[in-house]
Amino acid sequence: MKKFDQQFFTRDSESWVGMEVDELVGFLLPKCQEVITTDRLRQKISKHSTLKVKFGIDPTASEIHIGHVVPIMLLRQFAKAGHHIDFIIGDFTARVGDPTARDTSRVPLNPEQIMKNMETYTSQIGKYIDLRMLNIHYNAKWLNPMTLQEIFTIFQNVNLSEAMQREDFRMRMRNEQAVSLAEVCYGVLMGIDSVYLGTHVEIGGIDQLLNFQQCRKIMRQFSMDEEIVLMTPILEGTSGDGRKMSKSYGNYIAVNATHEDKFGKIMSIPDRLIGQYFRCFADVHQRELDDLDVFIEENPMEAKKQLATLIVAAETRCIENGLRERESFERKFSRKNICHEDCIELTEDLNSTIFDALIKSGRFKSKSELRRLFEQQGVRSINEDGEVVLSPEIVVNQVCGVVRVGKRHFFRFITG
Amino acid sequence: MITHSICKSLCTPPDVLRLGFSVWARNSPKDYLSIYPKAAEEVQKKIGAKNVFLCALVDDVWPIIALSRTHIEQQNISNQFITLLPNLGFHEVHLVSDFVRDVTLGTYLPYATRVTISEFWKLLPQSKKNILDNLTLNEILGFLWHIHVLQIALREFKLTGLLVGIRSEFFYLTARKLLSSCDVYFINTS
Repeated sequence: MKKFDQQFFTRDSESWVGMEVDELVGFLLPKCQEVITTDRLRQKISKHSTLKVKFGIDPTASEIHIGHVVPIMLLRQFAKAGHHIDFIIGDFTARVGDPTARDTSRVPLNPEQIMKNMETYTSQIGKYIDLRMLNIHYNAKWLNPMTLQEIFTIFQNVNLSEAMQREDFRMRMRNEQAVSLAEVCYGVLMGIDSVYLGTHVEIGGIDQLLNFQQCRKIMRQFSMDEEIVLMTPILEGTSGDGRKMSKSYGNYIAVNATHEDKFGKIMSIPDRLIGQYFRCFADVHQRELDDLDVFIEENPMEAKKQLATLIVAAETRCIENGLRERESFERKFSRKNICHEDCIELTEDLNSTIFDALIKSGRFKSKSELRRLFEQQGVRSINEDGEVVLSPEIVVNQVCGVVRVGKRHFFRFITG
Repeated sequence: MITHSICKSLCTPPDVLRLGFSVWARNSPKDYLSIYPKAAEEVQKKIGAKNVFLCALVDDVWPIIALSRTHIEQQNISNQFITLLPNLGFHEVHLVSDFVRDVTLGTYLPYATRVTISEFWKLLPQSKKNILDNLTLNEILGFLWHIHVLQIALREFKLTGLLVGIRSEFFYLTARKLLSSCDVYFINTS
C-alpha cells in the first residue's frame, strides 16, 4: 500500500532553494486553478533568483477555516524556494470592503476590529507557514497618505464604465443589491499595493480574478511588468453539495478545531473531493498526480485516512500526531472500541429522558438540531452486542453503554 | 428663487443663518453669482431669522489637479473670486486650500463606503452619461472630494445650511445622508 501521507510529509521540512525552474513549477501548478500565465511564471523564476511574491488579506473575520489556508499552502512553496514573501494586511482596504464574491456589500471594519482579527488570523495561519518567512505590511501605510494629486493620476486611467461593469457588480445591481463606490475602487487599491511593493507574483483565490486584472492594469500604467497571478481553487465544503467551504453553510473545518475534529471531518468528505484536498494541502508534483488519482480511485477510504493524517501532521509539523489521530479514529469507528477518554461524561437523574439529558449538555445548537439527529437515527447506544437506535423518550436508566450522537460524538452517563 | 429645500424640522428658527455656497474656481467668476446673496435673503425671510451670513467656499484645489493648472495660474482666478464675491453680497469668501489641509486618500475614501453606484449614477448629468466611455474613476474622486470639502466647511464655519443651484440637485440628494447636519436650499439659476 502506498504511503502518500508520509511521502508528502517528508517534503514539509525540505528547503527548495535552488530548485530547478521546471521542478518548482511542477509543484506549484497542482495547487492552481488558473495562472496568468504559466510561460511568464517560468520566465520570471528563471530571471529572478528572488521573486517578490505578494499575498494580501483583509482581516474581516477572526476565525478562519481550512479553505482560507489553500493560498497559504501555495505561498509556503514560494517561501520554501527562498522567494521574498510580502504579506499584506489590508487594514486600509478592509475599511473599504472587498466586493469579491459577495451578494451584498461587506460591512467596512473599524481599526480596532481589524487589529483584533489580525492577531487571531496570524496565530491561525502560523500553523501552516512559518511567520518568520513573511514580510508583513499594512497597506494603510502607503494608501492612507496618498494625496489627491497622486490618486487622481491613477484614477484618470481607469475607465468608470469598465470598473462598474464587473459581472459580480452587475449581478448584484440586477438583484437590487447595493454596490458601494468604494467597492468600485477596490481593485485599483490592490493594484497600488502591487506597484508600491514591486510585486512579481501575486497569489489568491480564483474569485479574485477581477481584482487581479485590475492590479495588472495599474502596474502597466506605471510602466511596470505586470505581476504573474496564481489563483487557487475555492475549496469545496465537506458536505459534498458543491458549495464552497463557508461558515455560513456549516460545511467547514475550522483551523482552530481539535485534531480529532479535523480528522473526523476530513473523513466525512465525499470521495470525489479527496484529490482536490490533496492538491491543496500537500506538496504534490505534477508527475505524481496520475499515481495519486489511481490510488484514490482504488482505495478511497485509505486515501482519505492518509489525507486526514497529512493535514493533522502538516499543522503540527509532526507525522506522529497524524498517525496517532488515525489510530484513534480506526479504534473508535472501525473497531468500535470506545474508551472513557473518547466520551463526554454527563451526570444525570436516572429518570431523565435521554433527549433532556443531551440537550442539557450544551453540545447542541438547538433542540431542533438534536431532534433531527434522533429522526435520522443518529443517536445510538454502543456496547459489546452492537448498536441500538435510541428514541428521544427513553430514560437514562435504560441506556446501556456509550451513546453515540451523530457521527463522532460520544457520551457516557453517570447516574446521580 | 428658492425652488425647494431639505430642512431639519426646527421649532424655532436660529437667530443667525450661516449659509454656505460652494463654487469650483474653474473660470473667472461671473455676475450671475449675485443670485445667491439674494436667495440667502429669501431664505432668511422665509424662515424668519434675524440675520443671514453667506459664505462662499471657493474650491481652488480641484482645478489645479483636474485641469493640471499651476498654482500661479489658479491663484489669478482665485483672486478674482476674492475680489468680486464680496461686491456681489457674499459676507465671507474662503478658499478651500486655506481650510482643507489634509488632502490624503484616507480622509475622504471612507465616504465612498456609504454611497452606492446606483445613487451615484443618478447624480451623473446626462451630458456625462452620453460620453460614458470617456469617463474615469475620477468622477468618483471628484464627488468624494466635494463631500469632504463641504463636511469640513460645515464644521469650520459653523454653517447651518447650503445654497445650491438646482442643477446640482442630484449631488445633494445623494450626499444628503453624508451631510445630514445641514439644511439645503435649492435655487433656480435659469
